[in-house]
Amino acid sequence: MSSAPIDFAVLFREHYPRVYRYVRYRVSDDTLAEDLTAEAFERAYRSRASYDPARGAFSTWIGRIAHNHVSNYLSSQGRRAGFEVDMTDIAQFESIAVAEAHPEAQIIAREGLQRLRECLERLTDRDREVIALRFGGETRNKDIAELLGLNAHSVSVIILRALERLRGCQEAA
Amino acid sequence: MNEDERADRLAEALDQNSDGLPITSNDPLMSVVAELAVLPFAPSAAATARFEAQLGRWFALRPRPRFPLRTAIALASALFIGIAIGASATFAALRPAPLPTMTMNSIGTPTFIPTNTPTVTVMASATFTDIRTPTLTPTLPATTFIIVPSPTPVPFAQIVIAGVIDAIQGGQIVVLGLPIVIEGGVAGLCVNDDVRVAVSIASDGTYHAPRSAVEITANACFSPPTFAPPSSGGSSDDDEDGGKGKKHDK
Repeated sequence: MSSAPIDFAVLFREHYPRVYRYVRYRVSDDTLAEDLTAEAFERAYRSRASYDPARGAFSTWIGRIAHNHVSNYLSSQGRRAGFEVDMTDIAQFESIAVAEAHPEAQIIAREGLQRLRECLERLTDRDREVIALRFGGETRNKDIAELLGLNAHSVSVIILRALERLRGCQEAA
Repeated sequence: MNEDERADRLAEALDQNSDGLPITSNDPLMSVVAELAVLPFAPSAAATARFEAQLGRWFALRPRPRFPLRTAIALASALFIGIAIGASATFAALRPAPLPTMTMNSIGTPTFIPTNTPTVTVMASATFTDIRTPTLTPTLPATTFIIVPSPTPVPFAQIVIAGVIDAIQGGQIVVLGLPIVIEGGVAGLCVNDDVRVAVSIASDGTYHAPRSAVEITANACFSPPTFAPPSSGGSSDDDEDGGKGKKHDK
């Protein structure tokens, strides 16, 4: 371990939005995502002594904790969390996303984001997990590969196929 | 371009995007990537506030110890014991006298508590008695009198009257207009004597005093002789008014 003290408060605060975004990609409920994120950081706080900067970046370490926590939760639920789409929730985040766009663009963007979200719900667990790590957790393919026990090329192929499914889902809708 | 090659190029484009570099890929899937990037997945303000509060509890109020807890406790205990032993040795060497606490206890109890009550009582009685007889009376003017109550209950009051005897009538004298019955007679007392009398007031309102209670402070019975200048007309030895002409009623 490095001799310099680690300011976990700064690291936690810095990575909180990214971890939440990852969790939110994997589950479809805002409140559930917030709870799971808080619990993930609780775990990280308890096991912070195990973090070794020499063995990897903090983003990888906290990303693994969040990934394991959400995966355990989904496994305990026995189903894909948030498979049912909450239309109220969709309208809420869509209104935020397109708030600054032009009216025509707002309509197009709103419809596109709605379809994209519905399509995310229809991905397989593995595809959604990888998409969440890549676009929610901003995790590089090699780190995703390490986390999931795959090789980097396999992760790239999984991402390619998942994006094709999303695009196909959007076009079909 | 096969799928593997396309996947690798897409991965490179995503890494460029992560690094903030311009995306050079023209893969049609990049439009999906762009849409994924704008999904407004952000924690609510309430969740962020709760998280900040949690950080405060974790790190601000309970800073992470640099040593393990047991090590810290052991070091603190050893340090405390060392300081205590050192302080005791130094104190004993510099101040062999008994501990101030013990001294204060032994002095405080007998001195403070028991002295309070007897001191008040004794002072009251002694002062009272002393004032009655010798101290205040000589300083008083002749036309005043003092009432000196007895320290013990008596059936009548007792006063001291100091003044000039205005008249002597039988067995009583008149001082300051008050007739005082002198028990034992008025022998040796003269009108105009300046006296001080310890008088008892009987239950019927009369004033009584034994002869021994009458103190003559200025005797008028024996006035110094007056020497008249010799007259030119003859001797004055037989002059009936050669003296002062003081009358004695006794």
